[in-house]
Amino acid sequence: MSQSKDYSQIIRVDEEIIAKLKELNEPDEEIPFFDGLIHLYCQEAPMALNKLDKAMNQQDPLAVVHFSHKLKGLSRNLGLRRMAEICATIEHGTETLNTIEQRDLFEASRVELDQVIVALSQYLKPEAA
Amino acid sequence: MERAKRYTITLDDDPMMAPIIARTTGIPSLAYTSSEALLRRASSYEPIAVFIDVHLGLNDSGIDIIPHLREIWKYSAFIIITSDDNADIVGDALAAGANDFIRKPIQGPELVGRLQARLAEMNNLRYRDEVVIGDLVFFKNDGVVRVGEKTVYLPKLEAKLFTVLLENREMMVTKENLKRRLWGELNIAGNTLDKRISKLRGFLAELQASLRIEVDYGKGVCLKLDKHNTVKTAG
Repeated sequence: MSQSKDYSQIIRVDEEIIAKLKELNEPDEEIPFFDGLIHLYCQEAPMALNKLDKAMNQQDPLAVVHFSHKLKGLSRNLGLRRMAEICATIEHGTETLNTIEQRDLFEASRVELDQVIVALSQYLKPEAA
Repeated sequence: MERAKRYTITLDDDPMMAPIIARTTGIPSLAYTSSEALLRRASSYEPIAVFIDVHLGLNDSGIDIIPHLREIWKYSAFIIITSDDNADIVGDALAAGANDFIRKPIQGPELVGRLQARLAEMNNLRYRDEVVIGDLVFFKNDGVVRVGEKTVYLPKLEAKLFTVLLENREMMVTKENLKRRLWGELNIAGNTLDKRISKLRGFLAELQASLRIEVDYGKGVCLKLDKHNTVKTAG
């Protein structure tokens, strides 16, 4: 299932979601609200990914579902569609994916997270980047 | 009596949720990440709404806590948050006592719309005859508003307007929403609503009520507590 899915066809960042979140900024905030969300994501997503890694190593399917779901949710908040889709495949594939397929997807999510963090840094207010 | 200061509670292990909900609704949201922790303190809170994530922790389901919280918070709106595509989850949550649900990523207008609709329902359940906010009493059926010794009698449309704004206190209500609630349609002359707002302002000023109506011409209308006056709250 997972090997044939081409995640590169899915947009990395949904600019509409980004734009709507930026509308929540208030004037004269030292740290814009949206920047705060980016910082939260950059803190939480790597932690969730590490826990997902551990869950896979321990072959704990419930934990794999939980942490992939968490990472999916975090990513969806910021319109990170490609990342969310990879996590969704991991989440729903615990019974159908073999270990190698699961690991491949994990690697894809790790690479994507690195790319996402770089992409998100470009939205930060210049002094905060 | 309803507490003057409104807030919601967000039960979600995603730390972005409470700030997004608070900023979108304009109402502070207390954040909890575990249902056990929230249940321990629930009786000390009276939120207008609770946002609950279905998937909390490894062994923590947001759905399971709903009936327990509902016992404590009879008139709070319970709105499920989910990034789960499984329709069964939503069905289970609604059957457990949730009033509504919303999917991630949160769409601001949808969140506000659902919240306001659920608040209207819960207010109808809770306040059949009168609403008490601090030192203000609003007798819904008669359109009478009393603050201390002073009383005003609101005409029918102003009373309806006041009801909607009170239900959604501290939140922006769009003019379209107000037109629908007052007249049942949008095809109303532009300044008709503005005149009603202006009249209601006059009545509140007469009462020296601790409330003010703010109009943001791009966004809508908001009834706010006047921070410069103290408003009595009961425990």
